[in-house]
Amino acid sequence: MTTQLPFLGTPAERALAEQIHEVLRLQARFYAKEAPIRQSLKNIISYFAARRGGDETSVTQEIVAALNANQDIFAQAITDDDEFVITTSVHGKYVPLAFDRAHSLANRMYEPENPLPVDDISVVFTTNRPTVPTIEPVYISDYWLHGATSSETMSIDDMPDIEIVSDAPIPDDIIIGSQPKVKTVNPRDAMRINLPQGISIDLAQPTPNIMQQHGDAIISALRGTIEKDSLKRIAVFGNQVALERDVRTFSKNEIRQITDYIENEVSNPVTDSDILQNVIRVSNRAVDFERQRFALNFRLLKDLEFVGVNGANLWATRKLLDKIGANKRIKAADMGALVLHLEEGFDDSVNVNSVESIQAKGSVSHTLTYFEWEYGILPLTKALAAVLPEPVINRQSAAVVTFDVPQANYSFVINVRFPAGARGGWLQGFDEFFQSMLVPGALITISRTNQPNVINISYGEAEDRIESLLVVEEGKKKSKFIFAERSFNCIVDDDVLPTVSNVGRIRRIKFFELSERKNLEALVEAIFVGFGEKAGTKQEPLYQIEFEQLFNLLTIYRSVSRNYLLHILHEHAECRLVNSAAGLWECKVNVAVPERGNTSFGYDDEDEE
Amino acid sequence: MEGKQISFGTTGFEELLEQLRDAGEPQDIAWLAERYIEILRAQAQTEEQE
Repeated sequence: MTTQLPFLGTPAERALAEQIHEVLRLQARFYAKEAPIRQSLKNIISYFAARRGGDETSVTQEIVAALNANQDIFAQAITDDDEFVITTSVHGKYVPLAFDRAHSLANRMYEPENPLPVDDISVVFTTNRPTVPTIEPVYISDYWLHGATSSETMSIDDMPDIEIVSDAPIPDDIIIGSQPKVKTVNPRDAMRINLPQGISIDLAQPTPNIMQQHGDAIISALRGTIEKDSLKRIAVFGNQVALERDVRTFSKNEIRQITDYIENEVSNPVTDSDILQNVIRVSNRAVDFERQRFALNFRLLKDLEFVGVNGANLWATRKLLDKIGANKRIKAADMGALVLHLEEGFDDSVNVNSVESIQAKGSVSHTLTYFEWEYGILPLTKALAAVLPEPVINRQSAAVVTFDVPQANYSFVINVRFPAGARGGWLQGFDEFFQSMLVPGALITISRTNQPNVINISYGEAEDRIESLLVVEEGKKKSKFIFAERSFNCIVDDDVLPTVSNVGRIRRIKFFELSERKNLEALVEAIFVGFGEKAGTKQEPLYQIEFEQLFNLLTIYRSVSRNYLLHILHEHAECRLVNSAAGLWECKVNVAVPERGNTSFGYDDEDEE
Repeated sequence: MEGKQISFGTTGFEELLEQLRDAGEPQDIAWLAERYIEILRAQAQTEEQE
């Protein structure tokens, strides 16, 4: 490649200058066009002296002459120990780059020198603020906030007009005319405050007295205030509070690590301390360990399931929680509906022993029903709740509790599902224990232990016994009741034990899938027909059954309380109590019942349905 | 003083936040409720004197 540079001098000088430039250009073939190419004069002389074959002195003179003749192309720089030739590949003589900063952003910030008049500023940017949604405060009348007994001062003008219809003399204390129309305020009233629940508190009393008398109501009102604070300035976890902005956050990666630790490494609910130490790497001896623990618990509420109890803050993932005590045969929605009556005011579990007496005793006894035994569940009645730990946080859906069977040295994990919305509460996960050690009708005792999340469950032991008992035979399309021999050694209530003699006629009744058992009326009618003694006529068939028998039979199908059954019977248009001493009920059911001459159970159930 | 000016949940809430901030550590909600009662009492007394 040749250059287009105008070399000057004699023909020999021009040719030599061109050769020198070409050598330097080849040396810097990867340089930028404007980059300086720098080479020492000594090296150039020795290079050309070797090639031209002449005397080095004469070659030096020729090179210096050529360079001097082309000073517009070759610049020279002299240092202490050498002389350098500098050029560029295209432009010849090197000129340092000068950057044009005339239009840089920094400079343009000051342009124009005379800014636009304020009237025209809208041309440059908009002065209209974007619409930001604001939370409008909800104003509540002071009447409702302070109640009708409010101590507010009210002028007569503010008072409603009252028409006086009596002839009684006007009392002296009514002020008429231009005199000040102000009611005097009792100084004691000025020191009163009304809680949103309508409770009036005298602030003149010492704080400990107020807290002793109204502590729960004040705390409940304060929780409401904190929850309603639109800026969410107070962080709450259980009974602990902190300023939200002082509570540390956890990165998405840390949350992912915690999830992975719970699901894949431990595969069980994990305590907050365990997570802090093994995932977040905070030593339990750290000065701020408690603060970190609060932060972890508060922040995890958004991402994980809290399944702990007071004194044992346990965390699980939704996926893991769904597996704890899970029974594939019963859906949570069905189960929630089957125990809903407990939340509707029909829980009679504390009619005999009050919650206080159960709590004082620390244990509760229960006769296991067939339904509970079959599906490994227990309804969360008030009696059972009295010995179980309470939810720690607001709207806690579940808690994971360990049940120990001291007499069998055996323990298992139970999922306590707290009542929520349109569903009742229950405990699930007893399947294996119930079916391996107990039978329906067994008397069990559930009691608290010193550990907050550990509960004891025991049963009365008896001599070995073998009975033919009811079981569900699961079919591919539909299930049915059958009887099978079982050996057991627990104390049982013989009226509840599902033997052939007690419940044999159940096979006269259709099986009722779980989803169908929500309709208690239909179940009651079916039991009247299947088990009741016939009364009435063929045209108007009536069936009679004792209340306790009806109740025991219903407990085969679902969870039910005596109060709820009584309510259903009273509400049923065709049911009536015919003998209160014997608890005999009668029901008119317009259902065709297959006549069966025998009660042997060899017949085909298909015909029944 | 007019009792209606002292309202639970509104009056003294900022002061309550300050006390919680000064505490530094997470506190029991009963502690917070006690502080709030004291704040409300102080406000009621101030207004009564005015």
